Amino acid sequence: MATPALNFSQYNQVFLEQGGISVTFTPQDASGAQQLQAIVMPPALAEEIMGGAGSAVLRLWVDFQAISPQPQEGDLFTVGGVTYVVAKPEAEPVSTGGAVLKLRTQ
Amino acid sequence: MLNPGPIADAIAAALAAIPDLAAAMTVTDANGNAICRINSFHYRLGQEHTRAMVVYKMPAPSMLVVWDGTQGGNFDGETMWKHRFHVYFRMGNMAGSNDPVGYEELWTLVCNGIPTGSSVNIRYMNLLPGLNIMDTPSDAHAVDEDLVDRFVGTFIIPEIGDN
Repeated sequence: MATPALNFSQYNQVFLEQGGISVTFTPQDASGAQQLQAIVMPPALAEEIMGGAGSAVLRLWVDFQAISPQPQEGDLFTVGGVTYVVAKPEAEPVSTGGAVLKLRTQ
Repeated sequence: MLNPGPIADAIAAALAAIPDLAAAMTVTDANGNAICRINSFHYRLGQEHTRAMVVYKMPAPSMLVVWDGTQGGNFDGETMWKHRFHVYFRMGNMAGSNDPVGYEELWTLVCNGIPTGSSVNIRYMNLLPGLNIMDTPSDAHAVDEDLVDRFVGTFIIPEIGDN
């Protein structure tokens, strides 16, 4: 019997509900701001301010395949009152469906 | 020998006096105030973050002038010291812009823009008493810790004699 392919993406919403924070996503296509759940990830260099609490650089993990439109360079995220620009999205394989968004304050 | 700190301040002030460059580096804060983000960095352990952290945390857009070192030597009959400065660039978010200002335009403005109150561009300015005009400046591509583009300009400014 063939082993079914693993589909980790089915757990993404569980992860977000357990460990996510609420963020505001504003795409540049003028479709309007939307609320998302995202998980704060370790940055390249740790700052003296914790990620999500006003740091200059922030990495967020999101359920990429579930977001429409999918975030791209230049889109905005507001986290804890601070607005960030998407500098680089790094998408995962379809089997996991997420992406790490690398954000920087503007 | 001159203190490089005020030279870094003078470079930042001259760059901020270039109208189009200042406009590209100006943002509006939460209170509606315009802030020009062209600044100099000084090594003040205990008061400031480390240079690496300040560069890492640069918002977009912004520019940062940093003293990178001084080369001593017998360059010619009047030059003993050459001060080296790095100018870090982060361009702003150009999403949706019909007239984007990228790194090419920013560097052109640095080299050719005329600071307000000056008759020449920064390459031909005596930024402080005791300083000669800078050697021909350079600019180079780099990527940051997130593999995002940024640029670093290099200014080398000789002193006149030994101050």
